[in-house]
Amino acid sequence: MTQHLWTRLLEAKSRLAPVQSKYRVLFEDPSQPDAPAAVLVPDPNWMAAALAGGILPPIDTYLRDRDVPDGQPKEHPYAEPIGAMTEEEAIEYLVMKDIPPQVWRDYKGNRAILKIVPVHMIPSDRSYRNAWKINQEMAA
Amino acid sequence: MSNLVVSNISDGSTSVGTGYVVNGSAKVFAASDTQGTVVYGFNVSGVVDDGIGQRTFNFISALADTTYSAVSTPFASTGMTHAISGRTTTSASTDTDTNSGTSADRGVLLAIHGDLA
Repeated sequence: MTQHLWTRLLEAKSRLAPVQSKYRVLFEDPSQPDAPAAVLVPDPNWMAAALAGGILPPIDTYLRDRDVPDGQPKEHPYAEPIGAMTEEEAIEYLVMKDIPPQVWRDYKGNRAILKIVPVHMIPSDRSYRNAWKINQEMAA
Repeated sequence: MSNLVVSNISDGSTSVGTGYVVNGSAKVFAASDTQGTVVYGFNVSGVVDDGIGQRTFNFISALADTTYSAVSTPFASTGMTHAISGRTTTSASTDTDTNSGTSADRGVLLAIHGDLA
């Protein structure tokens, strides 16, 4: 029987060195047009598990579990783990897992609302953080 | 990996069921810096920097329901107030303010106890 995902994470944390990603994901949620652009930062232990393989469940189990009511059994904790991913594949997986589908799947507008960028492209000056938007010229 | 299978842990006079130990441990913990970078953590896939003082921590293994206990505290800063501003079975959001109520970027420590899905 497949171990619970949380147990696999415990075991992985004891043997895998954390990996800080060289990418960040910028996104704007079309359901909150006045909100600033959000920045998704991958967790280094999660990235290590993604690169190692044999720990994380298939992404489609997370997507199906979105429709499962709270308190009901979820599919992802006991799903058979998938193999190793590249860092780029891991970021795509994370986009689908941690960003609402209305951003990466359902949006039909012309504006670029999701962009995967190297860490150095995220401004370190946060003086105007709540005014950040994705640069449409660079995103084109 | 080898497993030690026991139903109770004892110091010779007092014993406790291993279920209490396993179920009583934190299911999620994380520390993120002012930029949202996770310094250390467990059962977190990513942190979303939603704006000044706003963070969302996404879980790898979901909680069973939203009645879990979540605690957020400042990470190496004082004079701040932290609050859990949102919770689902797959994420928890935190809000950091100065004592005067202005949103502020500071590191965040998060710990969650509850039942896993």
